[in-house]
Amino acid sequence: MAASLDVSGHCLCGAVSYNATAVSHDVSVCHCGMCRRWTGGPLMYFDVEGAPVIEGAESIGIYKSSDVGERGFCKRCGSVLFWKVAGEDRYTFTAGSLDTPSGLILTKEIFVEDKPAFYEFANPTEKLRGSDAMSAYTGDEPK
Amino acid sequence: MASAGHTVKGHCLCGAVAFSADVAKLEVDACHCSMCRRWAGGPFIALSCDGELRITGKDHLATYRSSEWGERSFCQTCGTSLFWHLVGTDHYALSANTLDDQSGLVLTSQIFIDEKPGFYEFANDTPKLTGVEVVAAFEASKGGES
Repeated sequence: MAASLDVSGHCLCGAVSYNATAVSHDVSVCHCGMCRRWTGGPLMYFDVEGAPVIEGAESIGIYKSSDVGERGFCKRCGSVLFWKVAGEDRYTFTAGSLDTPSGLILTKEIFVEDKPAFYEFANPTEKLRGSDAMSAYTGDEPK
Repeated sequence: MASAGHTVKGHCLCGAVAFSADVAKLEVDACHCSMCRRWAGGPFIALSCDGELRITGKDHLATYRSSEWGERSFCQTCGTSLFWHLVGTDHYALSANTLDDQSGLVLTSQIFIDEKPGFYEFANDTPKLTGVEVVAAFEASKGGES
């Protein structure tokens, strides 16, 4: 059984920091065009249970990128921080924002159909199409 | 073949900021340094541009000075990480994933490999440089230009 764990993280300039409960040490990669454009690489994220405790929330900018999701970033330094289900306390935070990224395991790649050809991960992972991955967040049947 | 180049165009997620630039090669590198990973959420994959960066929507662009030598620009409206700039030069590392056309891109190096955490690994077979090696290579290239 995967044990949840308390984690903390912060943006590059330190204006925003957070404490949250990660579902596990599992990290996923999202190759979708929106995540890649937003972050500058494939987005590496972990799932969080419930609402995080955020310090410096006044420095957070929110951009609603689709009907489903919104993206949080630091308005001072531009660090990408989280993707969340719009209107719900369902958050994923970036692996890069963690204070201590030890013990992480890359277990999943999603939106594999959107991955460009120029990079590839060596890690053995579960690979999901976007609609299959998103059903976990939206509750919709995979398309 | 110095004249052979490519004009690339890109934009942020919300479209408020767009850019075009002339680059020598469609080669990209992945930076594993802790600043890039904290800023971009994962390794930052970038295309080198040495020259003019033509930007539209500049009023939406914000810049954060992350070190003595580098600054990072992003869209204030959507938070897209757009480019890293070597202060005082016309050298930019443009986010490859912001490009409108990403066909033809080749990952040819990985830098700051000494700061890469253990949990991920690219399968691409590329040279891997430590931070010290990157700085040394840059200093050498500066010497060569003078």
